[in-house]
Amino acid sequence: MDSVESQFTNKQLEIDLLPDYQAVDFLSVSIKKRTKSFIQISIGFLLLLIGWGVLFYLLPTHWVLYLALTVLFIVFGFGYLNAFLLQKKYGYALREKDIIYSRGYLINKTTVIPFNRIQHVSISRGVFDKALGVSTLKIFTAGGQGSDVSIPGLLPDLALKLKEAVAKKLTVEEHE
Amino acid sequence: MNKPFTQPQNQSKVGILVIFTSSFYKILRAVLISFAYFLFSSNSKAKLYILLGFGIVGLLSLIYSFFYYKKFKFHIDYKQKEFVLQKGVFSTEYINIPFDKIQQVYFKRSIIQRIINVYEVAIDTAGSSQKEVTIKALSKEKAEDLRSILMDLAAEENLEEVEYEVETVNDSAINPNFTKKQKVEWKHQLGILDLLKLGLTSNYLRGIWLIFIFFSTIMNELSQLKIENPYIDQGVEYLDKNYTSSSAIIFVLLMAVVLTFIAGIVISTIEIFIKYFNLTLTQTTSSLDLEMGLKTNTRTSLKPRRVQLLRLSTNPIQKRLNLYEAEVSLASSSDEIQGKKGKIRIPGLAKEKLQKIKEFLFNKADETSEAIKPHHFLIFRRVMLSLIPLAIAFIPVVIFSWYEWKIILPFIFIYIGLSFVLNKMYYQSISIEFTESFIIKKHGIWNQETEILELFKLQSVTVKQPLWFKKRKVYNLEFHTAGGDLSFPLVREEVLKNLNYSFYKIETSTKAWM
Repeated sequence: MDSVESQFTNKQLEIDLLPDYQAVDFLSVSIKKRTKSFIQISIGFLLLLIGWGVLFYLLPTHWVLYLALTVLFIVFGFGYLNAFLLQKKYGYALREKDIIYSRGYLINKTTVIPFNRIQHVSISRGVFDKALGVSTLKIFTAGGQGSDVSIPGLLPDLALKLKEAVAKKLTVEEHE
Repeated sequence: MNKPFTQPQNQSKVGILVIFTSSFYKILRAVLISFAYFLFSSNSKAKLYILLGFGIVGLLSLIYSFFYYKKFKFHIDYKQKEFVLQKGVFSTEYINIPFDKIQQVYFKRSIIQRIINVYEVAIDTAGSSQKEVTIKALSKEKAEDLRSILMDLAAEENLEEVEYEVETVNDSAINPNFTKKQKVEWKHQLGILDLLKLGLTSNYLRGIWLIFIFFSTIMNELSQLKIENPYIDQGVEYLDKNYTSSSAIIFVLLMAVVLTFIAGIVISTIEIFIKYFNLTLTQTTSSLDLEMGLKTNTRTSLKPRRVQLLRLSTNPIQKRLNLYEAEVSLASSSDEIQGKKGKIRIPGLAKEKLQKIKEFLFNKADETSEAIKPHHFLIFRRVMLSLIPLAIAFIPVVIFSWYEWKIILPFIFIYIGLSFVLNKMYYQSISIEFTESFIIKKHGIWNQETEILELFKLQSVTVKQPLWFKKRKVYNLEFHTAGGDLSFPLVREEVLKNLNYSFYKIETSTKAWM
């Protein structure tokens, strides 16, 4: 409290002159994120196709089966397209005092989390993450699910570095 | 040193009764269906067995309650700086609460607890996913001792933050013993008349909804029992015979609507009486203390630091009667944010009381700035959304061609027209203000709400843009706090620069947000 008072200033604020969060350059995530999505979708697709094949073999031929197959292809087609389009939309940026994460094709969401509101940071690696050599960085706040963020498709070193950078900011904030 | 509560101790002996009634009540509720069967069945042998079953269950739960009481012990460990509780009949569970995690200690009293004159002490902890810890039955002196000791210990642990709180609350005279002796600054009480006024002017829809739920559960339970209901058939027959003309049918429908409406008013009033009976709000130098309830009497104290969102609401009738409602969202443990646990409603406040609460919570004068409206596309969007139920209702009509177009079309037009008018009114009511230290959202046609969020209590902000709004350059805003989210639809691009100011405010703030 004291330190704040000793350096007390009271300049007029021009809202237009404040750093603009939209002006940052977003860094993109690794292309492996797309590969991961494709693999996940393909596995689901394959399982359902096998299921369909079994039904086709067991049941008498009926138009509903063909309809189901068409629906399957359309749904997964969209799945692939979505994964393809999403890739470009992942972006994150670190500023001095906050982290910005943007994602989503159909509904684009940009979340800004100030460092002094982060509760903790963690890195998670699933099976596919391990196989492809990527990590997911998770950032938690006290603001509930809508406020928490997980950045996928980061190279492990980078994720670690980011985590450390954020953690360092956190401890600095705490000492102030 | 002879510190209180160092030895592990039991609750009051009468606590057995409280535990027994609550556990027996739980069991009863679980076997409600068989109880109903007991009432309806004519088989006397079955009746006897069921009665016997209830007797055994009652006896078992009495024994269980006794052991639960014996095993339930609590004490304060001054060395480890924590409150320790052990419980469990079959396996013993230890719960340790460090002093600095204690957010609040408050009392609850159900009817039984009031009859046998004991207090239930609840300890609210911060940040953990664990639910609040309760001690079901303590005598008045013990309960108050425990509460004040725990609150003092928690305050000592959080000395820094408490100092800050004193500063904000009372700049001129910092009283070092403020936890011990608190001056009452003002008081707010709801009398019977106020409650009646509130009940008559509150939202009846809720009452109607409660009736609906009540009857549908009853019907559900009854249908599960497969009891034949001759009354319905008779009723249908009676209607078929006597009400053939359309005017008679309309009369019956009208009567049904009026009766439901009246029942809705009655139910809402009763609900308000039960919930807010004897509501007392007292402001001392450091906190707002709230006590209310007929069935369960709860007492809590609100501290400005814990308050994340303040929601003020009223409707035109209540406004005329000078009745306003304040709803406070508190910081709650992680997953229960949308739950009701962290929200406290204080109805029936006069305008100047509301002002006092605002001043106390924010310690700042009111601020206003230019009210920003959403893009008027909002009206269109809301009308479109309101058409979805219409479309869904329409599908069977089209498929089975139940009605003539001539009959349906006017209804559709009325619906769309009404929807347009209401949504236009809603659009006129909604606005957001970015002031120096607050974000203020106003909205609502009938129930007019003002939501106030202190900028430094923000956790993060999300800006959403669906693909189809890209050309229009409008965005949806979502402000996340530890007490829930505040969202605002369809703002224009130039509004986003206000967010930069929000970030500036959060990032330069050193105040504790919780």
